[in-house]
Amino acid sequence: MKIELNSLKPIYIQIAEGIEDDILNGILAEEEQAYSQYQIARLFNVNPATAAKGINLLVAEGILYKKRGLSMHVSIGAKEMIQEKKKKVFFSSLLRDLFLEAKKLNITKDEIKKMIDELGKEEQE
Amino acid sequence: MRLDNNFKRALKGLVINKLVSYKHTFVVYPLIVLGISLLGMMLTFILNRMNIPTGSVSGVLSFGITFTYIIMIILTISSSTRSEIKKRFVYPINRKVYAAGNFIILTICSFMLLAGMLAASMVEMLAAKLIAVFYPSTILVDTVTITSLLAGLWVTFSYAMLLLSVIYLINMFILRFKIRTAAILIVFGLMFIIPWWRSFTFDILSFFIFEQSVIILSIKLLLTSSIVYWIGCLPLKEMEVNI
Amino acid sequence: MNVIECRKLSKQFGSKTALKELSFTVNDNKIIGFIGRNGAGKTTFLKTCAGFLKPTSGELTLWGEKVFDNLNVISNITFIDEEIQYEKEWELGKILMLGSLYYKHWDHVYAQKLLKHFELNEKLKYSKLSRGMKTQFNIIMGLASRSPLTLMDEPTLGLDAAVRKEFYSILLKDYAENPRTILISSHLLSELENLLEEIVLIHEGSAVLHKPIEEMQEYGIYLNGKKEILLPFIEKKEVFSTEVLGNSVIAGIKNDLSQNEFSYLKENNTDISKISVQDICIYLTKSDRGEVLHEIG
Repeated sequence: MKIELNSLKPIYIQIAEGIEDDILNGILAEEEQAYSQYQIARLFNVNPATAAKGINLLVAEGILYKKRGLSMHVSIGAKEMIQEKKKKVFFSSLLRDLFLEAKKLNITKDEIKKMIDELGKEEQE
Repeated sequence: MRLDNNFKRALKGLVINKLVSYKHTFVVYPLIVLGISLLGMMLTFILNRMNIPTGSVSGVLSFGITFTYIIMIILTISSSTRSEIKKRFVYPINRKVYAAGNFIILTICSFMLLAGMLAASMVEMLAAKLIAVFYPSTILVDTVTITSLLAGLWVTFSYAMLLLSVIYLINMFILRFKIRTAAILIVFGLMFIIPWWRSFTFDILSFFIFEQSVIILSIKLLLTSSIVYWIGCLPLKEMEVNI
Repeated sequence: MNVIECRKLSKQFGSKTALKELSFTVNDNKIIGFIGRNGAGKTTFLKTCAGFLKPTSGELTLWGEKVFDNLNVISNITFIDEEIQYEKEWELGKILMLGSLYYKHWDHVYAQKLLKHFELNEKLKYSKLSRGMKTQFNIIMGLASRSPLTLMDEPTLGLDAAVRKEFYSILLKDYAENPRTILISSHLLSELENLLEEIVLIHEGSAVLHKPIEEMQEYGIYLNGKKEILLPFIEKKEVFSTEVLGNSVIAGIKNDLSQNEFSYLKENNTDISKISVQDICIYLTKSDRGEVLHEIG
């Protein structure tokens, strides 16, 4: 997990995304205990309330849950939920940005498609 | 007075704080008094060897009383300065605690210094008696008894408390209301020119500070000093502490 | 529960007004940043809060009670600042002992741990400390007293960056283990801001705003783009700063853009970046806002 202090994104959102990334990368497994607000607070020198806000964002989405009112745990199916969510973001914003940038650079749709196919081939090999 | 835990804690802190601050005084003081008495004895001893008849007049007693009064006056003046108040209010105390703590300190210090002096004078008396044994030519004027010493200690202590309270009162009023206090003091001083005022003042004063019975005298003195001290604390009441 | 409640609090020093109808409330167990320029009234407020000064008018209550000369309240407060003087001729160990006598919630083991951590010898006399060491020692007094309301006026003056960072993490750790209300005034807001839960910004003795830190961090943005796009765009906005560089403009504005406006700016190749909380505070406490030139770092 890493935090960019000068980013436009609020710290608590970065914290939430950081946890999501750790779940996606398998650093945090489903059913396993996640970081507490105090661990996060001390790790990044941020106010525990800010850390809690990031965690609560994920609790509200069902990605994390509170076990016996004490520690935070990763929900079953959390990884899938995050993938689903990120997919939506990918299509609605990342792809859009890609096209905007392409327009600036005069890259045609066909050229992009070609690039994507080539990248796909590299992945397979 | 209801004493809650906060008051007790703050008072304890303040008293210990001040006592530790003054600890040098308590180390230096007996040394000086003892030194003086030793010096007196040596002098007596030397003079005796030269066959000059001499007597040791309770040097420690008279010296010790003066010395105690001077030290206590200095302590009192130093405890009614702005920097002193500032220093104490760094910690969580209020004005009531400050006034009470200060009074306790003045009482303890005066009493301890005078008691120390008493002990020293007893040492001196013993030494004088020893000298008298070895040098029969010594004329020992020994009118001091333990009872008279203790009574003297108590009376001296009571007088000290009144004197210190008055000094504290004047200092605190000067600290808070400089010009007004100075004006009142000057007016009082000038009024001394008027004979009836002068005798009136002395009458009042002698009512408070003279008395045949030691017990009544000390009660009078201590009561008066408590009231004077309490009035002396009034300027503290609304005073801000600019740390 | 409200810890600090201040209603139209004013403080006069002769003809000088230090606090002018200051009003705000602070809940318990938060770290609050008390921010303002020099002379804005920060120290006066903190000293009034600690019971050293008496309000001229208005009301200041802590836990619902008046502060001045009220031992019930004062017993639960610690105030530290640069000018505070502990017993000059005393050794540090002894001053800590005194702290254990005076402070209700004092943790002596913790105090000694911090002394070791800052590599201060307990035999050292207070008057022999350098400025930075004095600051460190004051911090120890401030933290070890564990008062439910801890007031720290510029607690990092004279400390180098490494020690400041250490202080921040010590503070956070201790706060996490012993939650309490901590009010910190500092001019190094950029370093401090992520420690804070809320900010109270004061200017000329009055509160300008009191907001959660996240809101402050999203309060303003810089737009960097073409002149003909941006100049008409910012006309309807609250502008903190504008700087024209040839054909382009850098404008700092209040961040209240709609999604459509964001898209519009993006399509027109406008760069958007965050205005730091520190800069926002500077803008909001400037007497003549728009004219300020600003360096972007």
